[in-house]
Amino acid sequence: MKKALILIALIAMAGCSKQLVRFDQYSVAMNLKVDADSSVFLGDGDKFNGVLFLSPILKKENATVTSVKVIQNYGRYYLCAEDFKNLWVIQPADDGTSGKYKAIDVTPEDKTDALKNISLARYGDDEKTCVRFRFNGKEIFINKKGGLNEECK
Amino acid sequence: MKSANRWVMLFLVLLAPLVQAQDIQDLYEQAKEALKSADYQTCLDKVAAAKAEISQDSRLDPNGVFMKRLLPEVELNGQNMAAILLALDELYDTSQSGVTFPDLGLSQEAVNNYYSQARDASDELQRKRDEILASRELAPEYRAALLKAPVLTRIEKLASTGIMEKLAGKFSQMVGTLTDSLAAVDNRFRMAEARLAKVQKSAVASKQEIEKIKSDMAKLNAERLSYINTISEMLAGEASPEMEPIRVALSENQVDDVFRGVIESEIRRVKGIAITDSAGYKELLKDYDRIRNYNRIFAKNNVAPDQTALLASYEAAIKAVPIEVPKRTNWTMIYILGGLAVLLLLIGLYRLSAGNRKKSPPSSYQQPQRP
Repeated sequence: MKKALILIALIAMAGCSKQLVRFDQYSVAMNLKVDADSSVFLGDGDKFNGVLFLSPILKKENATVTSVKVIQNYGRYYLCAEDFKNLWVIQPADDGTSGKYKAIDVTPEDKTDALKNISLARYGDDEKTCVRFRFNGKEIFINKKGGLNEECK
Repeated sequence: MKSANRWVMLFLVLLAPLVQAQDIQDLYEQAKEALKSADYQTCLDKVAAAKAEISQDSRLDPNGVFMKRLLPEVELNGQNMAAILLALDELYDTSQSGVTFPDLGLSQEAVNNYYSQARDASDELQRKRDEILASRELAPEYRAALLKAPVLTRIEKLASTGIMEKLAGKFSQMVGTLTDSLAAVDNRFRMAEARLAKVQKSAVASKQEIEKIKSDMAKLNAERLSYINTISEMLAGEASPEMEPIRVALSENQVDDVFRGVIESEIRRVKGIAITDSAGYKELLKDYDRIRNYNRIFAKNNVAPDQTALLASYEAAIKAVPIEVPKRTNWTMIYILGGLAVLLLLIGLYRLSAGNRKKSPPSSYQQPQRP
């Protein structure tokens, strides 16, 4: 009787659990035009996945830019532009209308340093993919958890 | 940011200056950009470089999105554009050397044939060009670039003006012979005309001799007009720049003198006509229209000065030619007279038959018996 109850409970739990499909949320690097309201369309032409409003980030960077580079890895967006001081990570919230953002200062030794010749790319394999960020002739890797490394770990 | 993390980054930044390989994404973007300028070779080179980098380090393309999806797509477009452009280059080369005009003589038919061949060659070139353009698939942005490719501009030029230039070259060759022949015929015509004038003044001139000279002159005039017609056919249509050498050659060969002489001799011929019937008059008007058309073409192409004033005299001479009015048959009178004749005939016949009946008694008549 006890075993039967446990079995029923397990079946009920399985029935209540969410059904999932594999959904790899990533992109190739995008060079996106910044509109007058500081927004960027994540995509190209009539094919886009949403709109990012960059006012807070541009304010903190104290910069006026015409385009930004964006890449998506494991659902997060990594954003930077020429002469920015930081690489920015944006984590979409569950509500579908907002995202948490965080600066990654990749040149902590130099507060006035500006990032030049930047590029973003994904690097790794199916199971473990990092964002490779190139700037000022150097490169670093940012893993799934946000850790910075000289290699993709 | 945690201080430990900062130290890690500082270490990384200081110790990891790189001799960096090019980004796959950059190579991919460069390949696309090259193709948007119809530079398929750079496109294919960039695709090959990207593939080589991925082959050396598969981690550059974590999900195979470049290798399986993006690079093959741009590579296929690059290959298709290469095939199209190579075929267009070949088409241009073969068309450039293939359009030739065989010698067909100096007639109007020859000129028309040359024009027809030129039009056919142009149409064929454009048809083949469109066929090649449609032979392979291309994404719209690359097709737009393809349509600006220099080889297409060259083909367009060859189809629109290049073939006409070749035709003009052929005509240039013809012009010398044509104007020489025209001058020779014109000279013979003038000599015949002078001989006719001399013979007509002579007291011993035979009608037969005069007719012979007139017949020769008619033949020479027809030949002369045929050459003029051939020249005007060469110049027919728009006064395009390709035909400039022809115009120069014609103006240098004194076609204007001959043309003026033709109109003057036509005026003399028309003035010599004592009377003509309506068919002959129509022929005169037809000749006039033809010569007026030559004048329009020659003046437009600056081959000869406008001869409008002389043409007015020509027209006046034609209008002065008396036209023989044929006597009209009065069919009404013929019908009336015919009817009367038939009526009289019938009356005559009736009377004749009535007279016969009175003279001969019927066969059944019996004489009365005497008592």
